[in-house]
Amino acid sequence: MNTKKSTVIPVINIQGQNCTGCATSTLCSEYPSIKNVLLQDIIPGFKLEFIFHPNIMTASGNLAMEILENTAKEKGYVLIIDGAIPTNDNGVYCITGEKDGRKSTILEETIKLTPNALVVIALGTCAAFGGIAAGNPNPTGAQSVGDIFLTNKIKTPLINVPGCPPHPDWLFGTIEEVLTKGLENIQLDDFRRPKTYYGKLIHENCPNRAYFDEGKFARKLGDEGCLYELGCKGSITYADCPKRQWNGRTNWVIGSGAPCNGCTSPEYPDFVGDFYERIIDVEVPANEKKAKIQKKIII
Amino acid sequence: MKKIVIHPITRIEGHLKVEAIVDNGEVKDANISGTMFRGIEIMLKGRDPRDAVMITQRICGVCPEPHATASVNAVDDYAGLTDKIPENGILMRNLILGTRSVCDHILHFYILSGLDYVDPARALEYNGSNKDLNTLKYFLQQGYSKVSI
Repeated sequence: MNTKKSTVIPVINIQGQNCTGCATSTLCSEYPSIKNVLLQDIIPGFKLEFIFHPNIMTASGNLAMEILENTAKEKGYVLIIDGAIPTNDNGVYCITGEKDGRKSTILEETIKLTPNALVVIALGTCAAFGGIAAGNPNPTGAQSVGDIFLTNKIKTPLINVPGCPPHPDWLFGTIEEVLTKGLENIQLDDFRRPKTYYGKLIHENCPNRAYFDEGKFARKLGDEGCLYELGCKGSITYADCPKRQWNGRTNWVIGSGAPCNGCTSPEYPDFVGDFYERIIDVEVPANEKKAKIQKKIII
Repeated sequence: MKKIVIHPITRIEGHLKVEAIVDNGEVKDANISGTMFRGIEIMLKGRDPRDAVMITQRICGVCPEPHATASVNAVDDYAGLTDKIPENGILMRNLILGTRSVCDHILHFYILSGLDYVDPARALEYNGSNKDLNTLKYFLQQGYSKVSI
């Protein structure tokens, strides 16, 4: 066993309007194994130390909030946020916890914790783009982490790792890439997604691509052929699912005969149209929502 | 009379708060509240009914399948198809719920509630040759550091 002391990187994971799906998915990491992530070095020489993670930490109540408060004063931690951030009614729709009778909302926590972080990772589509929580008509005013950065003029580096849920490799792979290459050498696309994982369309690597080119389309679920007519959003979604595969490289959505619903897109779940209907043709930029997405590109 | 507030409750899905009124070591009254709201029902209004299966399973990431199956049953009921579900469809739903049941027990025990039953700090006293336990022991020996890069 390597006895040389590794560089320790504190990690804080706070959760907004989430469903814990991001945590459930990423905790099933296999390469690196979750044992490597939590107890050992994630890559030789670097160790992650999960100081605050609501799904695996033993502390609760006052003690948990104390940890969060103390770390906020220090600098140099990686902040992972999953879940959208509600802004209506001062963010009362998501309260992280309370310490000595004072409640703190996720909005307050985000504004408090982000400026001192080394890097902020918005994990999951809700944190990255609003996702399900910001679905039309967005009753709670849910916003993405990027939006909160924009309105509060926070300049901390932000990496979006969308997906509903995200693949464990997308999160830990990104962290490893930051550790080995350095933050400034990470290639991000227009939506601040790492190009390593979100560089290509699902359509480009889809095993059903030949059917698409041939014009052989499935008319009902279970038919042979491309699932485009059944609402597959693979032709507009950037992710490496076809090559990477899910659940320990077992299978993936199109491999099991179901259409991709485009969960890594900023437009998810509204703009891509109904999940089981063909993609609607919309001119770009067409409406208010598109303009909102355009705004996200600027940060 | 003493009021105890635990907020957040960790190692669960979502955000939970517990308030208990304790008198001489006896709980007299207790309130539990979820402290997060998204309004999934409001979002579902006006959508294609088939989309419900995709959106409702995002209610909970620890148990998405039961939410999805419940919404499928609701749509079936609305369309008057409850007695016309093909046999394979019923088998498929049962398989989905069955695998979830297996997966959920593992997830609940090893990730969520496991730490309530075991004391991981006891690994410090371990002297055997089990690799995993020795990893845990080494991890605990290192303790928490305040080193930042």
